[in-house]
Amino acid sequence: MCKKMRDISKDIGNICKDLGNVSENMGSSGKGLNTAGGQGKPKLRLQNLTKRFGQEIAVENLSLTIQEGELLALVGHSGCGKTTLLRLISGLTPPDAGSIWLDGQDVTALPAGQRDIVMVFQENLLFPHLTVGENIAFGLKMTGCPQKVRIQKTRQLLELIQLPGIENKYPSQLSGGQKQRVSLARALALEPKTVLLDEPLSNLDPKLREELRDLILRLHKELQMTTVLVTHDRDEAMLMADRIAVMSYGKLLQVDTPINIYNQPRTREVASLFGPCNFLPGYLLDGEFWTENFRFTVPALKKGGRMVACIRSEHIKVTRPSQDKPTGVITEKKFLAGQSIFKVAFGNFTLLANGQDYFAYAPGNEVGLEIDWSRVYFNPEQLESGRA
Amino acid sequence: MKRYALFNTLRRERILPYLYLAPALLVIIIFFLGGFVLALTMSLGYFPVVGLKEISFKYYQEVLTQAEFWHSLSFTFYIAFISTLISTVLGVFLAYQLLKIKLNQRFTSFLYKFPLAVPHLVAAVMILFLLSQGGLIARAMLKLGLLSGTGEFPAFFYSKNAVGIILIYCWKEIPFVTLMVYTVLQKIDTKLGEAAQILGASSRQTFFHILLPLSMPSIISASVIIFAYSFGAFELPYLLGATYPKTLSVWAYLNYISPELLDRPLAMAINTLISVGCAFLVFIYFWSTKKYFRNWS
Repeated sequence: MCKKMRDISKDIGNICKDLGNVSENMGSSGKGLNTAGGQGKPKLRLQNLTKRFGQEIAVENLSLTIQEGELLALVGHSGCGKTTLLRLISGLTPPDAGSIWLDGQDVTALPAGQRDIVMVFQENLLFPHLTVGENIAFGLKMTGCPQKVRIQKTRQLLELIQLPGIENKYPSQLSGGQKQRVSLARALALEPKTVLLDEPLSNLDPKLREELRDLILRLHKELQMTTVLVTHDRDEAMLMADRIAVMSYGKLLQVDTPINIYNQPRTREVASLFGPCNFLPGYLLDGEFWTENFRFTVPALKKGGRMVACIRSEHIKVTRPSQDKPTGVITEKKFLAGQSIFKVAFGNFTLLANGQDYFAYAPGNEVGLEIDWSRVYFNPEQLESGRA
Repeated sequence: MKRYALFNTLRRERILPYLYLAPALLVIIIFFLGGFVLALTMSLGYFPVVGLKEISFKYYQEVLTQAEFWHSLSFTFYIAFISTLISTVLGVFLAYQLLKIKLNQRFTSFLYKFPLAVPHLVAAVMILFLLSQGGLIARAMLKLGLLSGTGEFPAFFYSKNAVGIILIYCWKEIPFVTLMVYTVLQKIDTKLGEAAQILGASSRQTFFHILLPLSMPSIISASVIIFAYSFGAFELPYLLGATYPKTLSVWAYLNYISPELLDRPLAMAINTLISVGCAFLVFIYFWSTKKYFRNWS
């Protein structure tokens, strides 16, 4: 038994070594990522896009297809290249290599403003010297649209964003939420089929965020737009997106539906981005998972061998210690709204677990660990290779 | 303790800031305001040294009814207006081009700031050597056989067209406008310029609809400063101006140094009129920028 466990540990060490190479290959080629999206008509296709700023790589050989009418959220840590990618799509920044295809047309060389793509910026960027009405109609005016049509369209858009009658106000007279709504209306005035949103909710308070989030979702559906949303807020991405693309160091780590991203993260970094997660390396064989001198009975899976179990903290419960359960020692506890989080020393690992009663356990207590193995995702390769 | 109490009282009454400013304020009050009050009183006919004590507007009346005053005023206005117009248009254009070409910052910075460091008189000598009828260009043209005599070269100096004076002002003032506008344009361009671009505006549309209106307060401010300067400036029109008409400042100076002491109130009336004209310009500046800022901020 002990010999077998030693062998497993050795094998796990080798996995870690191998995973580095696998990650490299994935990042550069996009193989293994669902970058093509679901079924439907492809709207926007990014092909091997690369952008460098001096020695720094902002976007590296990135390929991604966004379907018509889809809302794709670009998620990642600050500086991972999300905004640069959005600027490449918009045409504000030219790529060093690769191409951008919109409706089957290569638009890589087209300047910003001529791609039927508009962008809403994080800082709203309303023109301070123009009234709300003039701001909204700005794009139309630039295309030579007659004044009558502009006025009519501005009124319609103000109705749409639920701010009627403010066309004569100046941006300085508006609140943060109103400014961002007007900024959205200004982008929509050109009736674009693709909208890029660069963290449009990040400067707003929680209540306004919620309101504007609902408005964006409503407009996205009503106007049947293809939307790319950049955000570093995981909840925002989960709530709004049809698919989430997780970026790190200019590469795509995973592109998938919110549920799959949460339940089946490909890398440690993806897993960590969407909430607390435990990573237990072990060996999976015939419905059993061997780790830390423990044998767990898990649902039968087709896959087997050296695995890393990705266990969300809410899938580990702290209970009274008993013979049939693995035990650990509480090292720290925290109270969050609606739940208690315990840090439990389990063998060589520290696990994050949830408990119902904050006051039932204290640091130093021995506790039992109840793992819902039906919700655990086993990843054969990737989890240990993340750069988290 | 008493001393601290007094100190606190002073602080409460917000006198302290004025006390800190006192050295600078005293200089301004004594040398500027004091001088202005003296000029004003003298222009109103109060000049006891020569026995004038009766306050009246007769010197203003005398100045305003002279044809020479109106010629001087229009000549001064012509020089100030043309040099300001050229400097502003070219300064703004240069600032926009600097923004677009994004050259080596140190090099461009040196290049366009260089004329700012050169005094007006030095600039005058440089341009005089270059553009006068006996200057480098005229002599070069003569050597090349393009002119039969230097007298054929257009007279830019000591002439009624005042081209030389305007050129010197432009050489000095274009970089000043560029400096003021470029700094503002840089801030606007990166953010709002991109927002305009994404909404389909061409570079030209972005410039005229966004960059120009947003930098207008600094453009107006720079224009007012250079107009007021060239309107009241003395040395260049005195050294390089025509015999007739003279600019207001030169005319005022000549009245001041006149052996006839009774002409001095006339000089002061002219000076007061120049000051009032400049003050009026400052008022227009504040009024126009207030209109902008009321809506913006």
